Amino acid sequence: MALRSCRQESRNATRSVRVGVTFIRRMLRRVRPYAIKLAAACVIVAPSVANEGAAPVSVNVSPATIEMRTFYNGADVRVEGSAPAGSDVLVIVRGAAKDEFFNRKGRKGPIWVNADKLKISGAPSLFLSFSSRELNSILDRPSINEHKLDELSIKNGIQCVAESGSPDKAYLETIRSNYLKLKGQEGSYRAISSSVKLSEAASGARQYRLEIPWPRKAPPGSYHIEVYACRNRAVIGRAEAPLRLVEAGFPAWVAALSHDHSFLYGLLAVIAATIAGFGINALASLFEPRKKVPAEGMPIPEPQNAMAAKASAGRTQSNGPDPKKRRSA
Amino acid sequence: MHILLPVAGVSIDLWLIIGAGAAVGFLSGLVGVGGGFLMTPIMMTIGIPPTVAAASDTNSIVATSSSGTAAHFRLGNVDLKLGGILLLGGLAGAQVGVRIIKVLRTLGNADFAIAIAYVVVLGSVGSYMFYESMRTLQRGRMLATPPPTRLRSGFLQRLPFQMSFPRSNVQHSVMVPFFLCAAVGILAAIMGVGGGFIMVPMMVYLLRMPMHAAVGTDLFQILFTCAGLTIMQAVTNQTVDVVLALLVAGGSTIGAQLGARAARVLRGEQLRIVLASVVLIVTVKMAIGLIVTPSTLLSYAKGH
Repeated sequence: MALRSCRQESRNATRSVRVGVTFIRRMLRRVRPYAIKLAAACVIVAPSVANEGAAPVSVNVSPATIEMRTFYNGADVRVEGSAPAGSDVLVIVRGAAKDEFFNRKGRKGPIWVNADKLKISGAPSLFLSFSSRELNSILDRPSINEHKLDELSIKNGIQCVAESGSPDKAYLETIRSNYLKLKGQEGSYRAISSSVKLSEAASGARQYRLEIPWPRKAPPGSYHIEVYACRNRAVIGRAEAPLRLVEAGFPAWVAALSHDHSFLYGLLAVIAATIAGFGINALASLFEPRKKVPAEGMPIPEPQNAMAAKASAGRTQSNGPDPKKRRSA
Repeated sequence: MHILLPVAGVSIDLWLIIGAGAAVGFLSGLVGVGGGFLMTPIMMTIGIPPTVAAASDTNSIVATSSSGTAAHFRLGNVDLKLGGILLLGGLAGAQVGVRIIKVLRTLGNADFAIAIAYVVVLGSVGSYMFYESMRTLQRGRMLATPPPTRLRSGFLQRLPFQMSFPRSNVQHSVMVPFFLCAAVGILAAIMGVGGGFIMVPMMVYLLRMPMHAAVGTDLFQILFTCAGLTIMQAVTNQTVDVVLALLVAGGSTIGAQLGARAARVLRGEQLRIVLASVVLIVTVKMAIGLIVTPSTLLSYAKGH
């Protein structure tokens, strides 16, 4: 029975539904290659091994690829592995550098205005630092600078092109420190010590483990997870693993359309917005006449109703919205 | 519940963004303010990149204003004839305004001039409208005064190409709305706003249109301006996020419907007080922003 009615339904499917289905199929076909690549990327992640001397550091990041689907809401990333015995561990999450454009405010008389336009480059888009102890107690300044492990060491790499001409040293310094402040305020640059948990393995080597609540606002792109094993205030081993953030499914399709067919995309955006606007208006007008007629199920008591009517009539007469009527009165 | 914005690449709280849209949309339906002014900063606070926020907001205004236009159209508040002329004037004005900005920039101190012009223009428009509508309200129920006619002179009546606009119940030379609107377009381009804030008061006080018709006609004009801007942004910057725009629009079209309903209940001078208050609040907020030392000297540029 159920089967027969089901068949009946599908036979009765309207043309619009059929068009919709073909559309979705076409969409899926576009997205499928991405999905396959993603799956492959997930499988191929192997722990990379340190290259410095005899001290092996291993790192395993899971998931190695975060898929951002329609209802994406951040993710939990686990970083774990082993480090030489007796070492402290520092984990850095670094986002690829990209150009950013800013207005610089400056004082003109009593007010603050945009005084300059800047292009800033050479700074990581995301910089999160996690360590087993406070950074300055596990590494000395030269090591921190060598590997660019804190804000201070990143600072000197920040490049700036200003509309007002090439910035001098003092100006560059102001811009760099304001940039770091801004990134700190928005949470893109953060350092959290005592977040990496250490334990001893049977072999005597250190096991480390870190849970990163991946920032929801980090845009898609490739990020690097760097692990440093530190002893006697020096780096004794290092390992690195990539972490990719990719859009998948519907968002990936929309993003691709906006890049590849930007005019069509803009046109569709306008049409969609117009349809949404008129559609909601049409819906609203459907409900409008019904509101004026009291519902049958709930009759309003007679005297109250009459009073309300009189009151509203009085109001329209005394201060109604039509200026012509009022003028003639 | 969270949703990923495909072009922005950012995941945001669904209800937060719809709620913000609804609040801004209500104001839009009530007094014809496009909402670009309020919505872009709100989006940036939520964590959407500034370039995407500005472009997607333009897209969502297409939805808000088409809904608002349709609602006002049913109430007979849209003057298509006058709206068309205003649209042309606004376009012409915007072209001139963009060129004026370029000249100002080369002369230096452009931003200073713009910031000051902003506060002065908005502040005086807001306070005048507030003062005028308060007086009308106080004068009360017996004496109904039409909006004051400051620019009513024989000169304007003698201009060629006289045309009557029955919907708005006014008669003007075609040149009057065209050039007034061009002037607003110039200001809008220089100050970088849609112009609803200035357009509605101008239609009420200079063109002597009824407040309700001014709001409806303004929405009609905004619809076309923002449709064009959206396509331009999508092509040149690829920063239009249609998912973000539709979410905001979903909230704001519903808000705009309620706003248009509320506008029908309120009288013209009451509406003008609401608009005047919004304009004054924005002015004060801007003035504070200009005077108080910012926490960081850098702010993300909306375009480049």
